Amino acid sequence: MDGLVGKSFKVGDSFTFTPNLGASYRRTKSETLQNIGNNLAIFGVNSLNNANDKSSQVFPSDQEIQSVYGSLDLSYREYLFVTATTRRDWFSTLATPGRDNNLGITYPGVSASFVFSELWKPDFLSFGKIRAGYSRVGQATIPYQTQLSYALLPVTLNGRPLGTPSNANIPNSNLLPSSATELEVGTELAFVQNRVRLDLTAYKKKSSNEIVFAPASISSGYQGAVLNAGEMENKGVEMLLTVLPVKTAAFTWTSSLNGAYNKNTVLSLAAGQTQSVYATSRSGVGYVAQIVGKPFGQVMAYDNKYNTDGSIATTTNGVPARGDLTAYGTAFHPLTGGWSNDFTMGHFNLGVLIDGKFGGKIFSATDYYATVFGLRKETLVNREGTFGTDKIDAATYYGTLANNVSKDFVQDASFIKLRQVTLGYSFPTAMFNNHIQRLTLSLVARNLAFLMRKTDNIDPEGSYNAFSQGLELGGVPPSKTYGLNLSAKF
Amino acid sequence: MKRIFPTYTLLSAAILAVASGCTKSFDDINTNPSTYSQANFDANYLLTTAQLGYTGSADFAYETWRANLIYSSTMIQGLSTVVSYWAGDKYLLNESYTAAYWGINTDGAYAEQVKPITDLVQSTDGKVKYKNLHQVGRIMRALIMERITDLYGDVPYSQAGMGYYTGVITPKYDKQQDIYTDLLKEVSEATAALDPTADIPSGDVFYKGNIQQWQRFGNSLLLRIAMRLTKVDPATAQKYATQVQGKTMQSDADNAFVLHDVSGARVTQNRNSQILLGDGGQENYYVKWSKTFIDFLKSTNDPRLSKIAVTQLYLKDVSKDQNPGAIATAAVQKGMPNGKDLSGRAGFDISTDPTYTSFPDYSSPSPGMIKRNGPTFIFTYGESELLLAEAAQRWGLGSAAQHYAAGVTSACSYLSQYDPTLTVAAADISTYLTANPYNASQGLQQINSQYWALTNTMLDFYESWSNWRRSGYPTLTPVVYPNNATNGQIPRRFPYPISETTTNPDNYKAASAAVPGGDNLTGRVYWDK
Repeated sequence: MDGLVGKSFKVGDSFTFTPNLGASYRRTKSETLQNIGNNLAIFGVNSLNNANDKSSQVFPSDQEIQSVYGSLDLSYREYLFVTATTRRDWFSTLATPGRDNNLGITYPGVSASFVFSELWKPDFLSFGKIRAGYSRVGQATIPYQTQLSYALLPVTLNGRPLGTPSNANIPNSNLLPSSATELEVGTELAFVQNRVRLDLTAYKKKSSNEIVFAPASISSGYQGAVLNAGEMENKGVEMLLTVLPVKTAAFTWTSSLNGAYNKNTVLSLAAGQTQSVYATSRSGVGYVAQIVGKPFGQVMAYDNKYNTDGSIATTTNGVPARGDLTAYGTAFHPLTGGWSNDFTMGHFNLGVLIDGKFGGKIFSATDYYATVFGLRKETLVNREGTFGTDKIDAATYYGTLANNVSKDFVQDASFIKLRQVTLGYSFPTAMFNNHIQRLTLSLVARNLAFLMRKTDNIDPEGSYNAFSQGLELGGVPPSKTYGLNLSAKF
Repeated sequence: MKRIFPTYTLLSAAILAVASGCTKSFDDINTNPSTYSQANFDANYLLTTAQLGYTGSADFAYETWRANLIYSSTMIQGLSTVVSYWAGDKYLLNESYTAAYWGINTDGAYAEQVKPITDLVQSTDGKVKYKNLHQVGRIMRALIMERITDLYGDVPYSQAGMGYYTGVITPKYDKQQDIYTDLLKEVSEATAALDPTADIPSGDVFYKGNIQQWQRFGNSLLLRIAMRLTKVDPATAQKYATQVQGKTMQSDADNAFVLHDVSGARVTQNRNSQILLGDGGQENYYVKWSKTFIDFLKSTNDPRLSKIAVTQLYLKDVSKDQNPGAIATAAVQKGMPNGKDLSGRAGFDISTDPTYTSFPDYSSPSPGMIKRNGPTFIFTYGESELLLAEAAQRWGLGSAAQHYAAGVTSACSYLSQYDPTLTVAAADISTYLTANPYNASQGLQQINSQYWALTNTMLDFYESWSNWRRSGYPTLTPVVYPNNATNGQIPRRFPYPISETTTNPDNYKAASAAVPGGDNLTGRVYWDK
């Protein structure tokens, strides 16, 4: 439910004020009913009624957010704009019965832009604008994280209920909303009759009191704890440069270069914690973690164990032993960029896109399993021989080694790809008596080639999902794809 | 403008009034209606869960399969197998299996046993209506923690399962010596505090809330914990063995076991049975009684042999159908040697072993022991008596011969609690005892070999392994197998789980570095010096 009222007021010829005031109310409620049937009475009849053992469970979810907000837009002529906003949210997911804690958070914001080219416009300049903004936003969490609760299993033991604390994560009745503040400055410039356009942004964003599920040792009884923990900072610049080197009636060339650099730092985690592993490779010997003082998403693996004299320590049966779990760099590329070129000549159009990412790391479980199963080139060394005084065979040696020392599976994920080439033809509209405004046939080729890559056997973009960025396993190699596109506009 | 302003202000005020300060219902909204709070929950239900959890994981017998069967049963030469992933049979290291008892995510001892029992102890503390439940909970927690520390050594104990109460997500590892001191204190205190006139714990599936039986269980458990210290601290062992004289379990009726239930599928069915019936693979066909164990029974004409072992139970590797004509005759029983495989290599492939004729000719656990709704034995009168026999032998506390006879008798007679078909006739037991009387000059060997045989038939191979590590009996010959991780020695403990390197790194590093002999299969726990 949302309500918003607002009205513009003009003061004189130059100033316009627009105050807005609104409120919103959102309730999200769901209930999942799970029925399980086991041990079918008559084989082959797949009906719940046919199950001898039935169990049923309900999983509810319920939350409410209430908000009020207001804004004031000020504009002076056509070149100075200021917007001030404020908002307050209240979250039900922070509430605990019997406690009167702070369920709300207020966020102020202000932004301004100045189109200076309206006042000062030398010949080379087509357009010029600077902008700056400050904003703060907040968030709460999912329902039912503030109290310890007990639940019964869906089955009984000879009629006796089976009960257990149902929280997977240690609940927290002191939760506060998280908040993130962002300061941003930027400029948009255009030169030489808009033939060169530049958009630059610099930002600094700091998140604090983030509500995280910090992993716990299972010996605590819980898999994690719900905590207001963690401060993180992102600083970066973004750039987009578009140039039209050639622009004639017969031929146009548009070249566009974008780039971004982000420096991320984890400033703090839960009290007393300097490291928090949040994703584990299926191999069991590669991880992604947050580490205080380092960028988010550190790819971690086991180093060798070293003797005091610096030599590599071994296990009882002579295989290099497992050393410390060590961070080898962030899974998130700090530097990203792309370069696209479009050529139009008459009815023909050619587009070429190259992009790249630099500086990220990836843990290759493909290489791990290839080592364990003897499918990796490195495992050919002494394959028919024996290792160590215990004379263990190559399969045992390499299998144990892969489990003990996994740092070799961490690779530099930087790459440059020839991402896409398109060749299109736009049919003259006259062919269709102008009934069709536009008809274009294009040949599209994607993932054509790596122009640069550092990983040996895998696609550096092979992480299996967004949550586990930095962990790869058995990714299907990227295939070149060729397609034919027909688009029409009436 | 004059006409617009009042309307505008009024509307704005209305929105503000509606939207602020309406958070009274938030407490209800953020309370899960399908769960309970400590105030309206019955803590007895936590006891049932912890007792069931002690028999193994609800998730497909997770740690029973890996820690009890794949490792303990084969290392201790109770069972034997050629299944390739049964790493314990050959002293190979599979870290995810050796970590299984400790557990990961929602599986294993800390999640399924320590969590509910610790919560029970905490949430019932000082509550009159839970007077006995609280004490039973303390005894139960000691039982649970003893097995964890026996398998790993120094482990999280004082802060274990306390996440909600302390907020500690990286529990410290307590020294096993300190853990044992506290276990003895806890069980002594809790047993003494049991009150037969107070509440009857309704969630108790060991004794249906019988407090006298819990008192005897507590004293027998105290004896077992104390006797674990015979190598490292005999004075303490003697002190507690003296304290419990006359107060321990009195008969098979005092045996603690959990009777399983078919209706809850994997969650409530017998853990050992699920695996030995082949639910997860071909264990039914390829897992057999060990040659060491069957030879032990055969050498003395043990009347248990024809009860616990059958040949020809499974006739094909692809079938899970039991042969109704399985043969229980003692004379045909034959154990399978440990350390064998299906590799085709001479000397290692089972078919190259002189004992080999066919798989069905090797003895399997009898069908009456591996029923889906059959019992899991927790702790028995027979164990208690054999421990008393050892205490008598060592320190003159009563008659070793009497306790030995009572222990061996119970170790035979209790089998009827599995299934009537496993009943050993009383006359057969006396014949056996007459033929194999207690001999004080080999007392410790006799007592502990019988203890090993008893816990093997209980399928409590954790206990077989611990008591062997403590006593050194029976004398076992390690298998010889290439690529083993122990220099050919029978393992002495499980290494710490790799998951602790990420979730509890500082405490893990210190504990791992402190294991005498190294954090591996050959390192030693405190009482196994």
